[in-house]
Amino acid sequence: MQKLVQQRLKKLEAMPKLIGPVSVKVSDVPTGTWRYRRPVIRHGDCVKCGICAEYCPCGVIEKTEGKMVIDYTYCKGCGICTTECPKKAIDFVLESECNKEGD
Amino acid sequence: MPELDLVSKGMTTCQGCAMELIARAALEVLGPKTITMTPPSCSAIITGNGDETGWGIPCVQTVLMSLPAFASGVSEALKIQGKNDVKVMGYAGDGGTFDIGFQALSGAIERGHKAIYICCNNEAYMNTGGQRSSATTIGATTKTTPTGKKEVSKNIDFMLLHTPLAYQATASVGDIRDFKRKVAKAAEKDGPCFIHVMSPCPSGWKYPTDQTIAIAKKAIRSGMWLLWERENGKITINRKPADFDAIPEYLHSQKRFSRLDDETTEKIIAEARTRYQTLLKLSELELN
Ligand SMILES: Cc1ncc(C[n+]2csc(CCOP(=O)(O)OP(=O)(O)O)c2C)c(N)n1
Ligand code: SF4
Ligand code: SF4
Ligand code: SF4
Ligand SMILES: [Mg+2]
Repeated sequence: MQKLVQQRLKKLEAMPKLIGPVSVKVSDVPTGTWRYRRPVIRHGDCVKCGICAEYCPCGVIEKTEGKMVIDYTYCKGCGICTTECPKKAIDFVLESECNKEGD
Repeated sequence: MPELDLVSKGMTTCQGCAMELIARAALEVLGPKTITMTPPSCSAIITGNGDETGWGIPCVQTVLMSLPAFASGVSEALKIQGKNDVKVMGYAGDGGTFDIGFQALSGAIERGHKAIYICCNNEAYMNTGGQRSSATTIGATTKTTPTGKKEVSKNIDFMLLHTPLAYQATASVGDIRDFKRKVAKAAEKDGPCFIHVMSPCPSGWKYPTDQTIAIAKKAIRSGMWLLWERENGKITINRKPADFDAIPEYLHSQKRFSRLDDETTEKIIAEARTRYQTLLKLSELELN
């Protein structure tokens, strides 16, 4: 048995490292374009508990320099963060309104 | 160079998809030294197509019938190579676990390969348009049950009680910390582990996308979804259902239950109560 395993391992080592069709790119769809509503954090009311980041399916909320930041390139605008925030510190603003304000 | 996300951000899973969050949470615990695999299902959206993938770790796209067999093979190969620190994570849907992949799962568990199987239960074949599965709750409308499903769902957790799992647990996206704790536990085991996660699906269950977590929480509170784990021959209930009478509230928060009549609602409640009572009795026993 051990001999057989050694033989097989040798064969494996002789093979090229990549076999068959492989993915070489990371999915990078700018899903932020799907959004018709935008979550906007009111930093004055946010207590930085991190619950929004924990439940964001897209993993786009991050704590940086003591502040929660949303990556709008990928935020799909599902609204889970606004619903789950215990402080209700995230407004859910229509994208059309955001554009009007120019931000 | 920026650090590679273990699960990429720009993926085409729907807005508010619980399955996406479960994948992120699992890999947050398991870390980069993990090999994953997905069968055809919504989780295959993460694996991607063509030369693109959403996983920042090695992944395999399997066939629907036999993800656990793939996991067995990878697990044994790692063992032969002495790579004991690499984890194997199977990431399947309910169709690929309850129905089409069940025999492969039971085989892999019986043979005792070290791997973590995560079943994201969204109660239907969502990736092909939302047809019923044996995990669909009675009364729910799906593509193939337009007037509401007539049969009660298969209780896969109770079925698996009689298998030699090193660790078995139910979890929910409504309590993500509990889920992560369970993944960490599974990662420590030297055998097959099974974690069954409730994974609400806004597209198939027909509710507003911001309600994914809220609905999962309602299911836990009302006893529609029980949180428990089994290890070393003992069942531990993690959370006692607060109020079975809150089940209608859970049901009515989703349009898939809009055709539900009172009789079926009563049946669902009665079934949930019995399930919990059975679990209570089981938790008093020494299994194995
Ligand atoms: C043997 C086989 N039968 C049918 C299919 C078609 N198919 C692809 S995905 C899928 C649905 C899987 O449903 P589930 O496992 O619940 O995952 P979900 O999409 O709901 O996440 C089906 C039936 C297939 N790929 N292989
Ligand atoms: S959940 Fe609310 S309070 Fe907590 S960090 Fe997020 S925005 Fe701030
Ligand atoms: S709206 Fe959804 S995707 Fe966007 S930050 Fe909130 S939870 Fe994440
Ligand atoms: S259909 Fe449901 S499970 Fe599939 S990607 Fe969409 S929300 Fe997620
Ligand atoms: Mg499914």
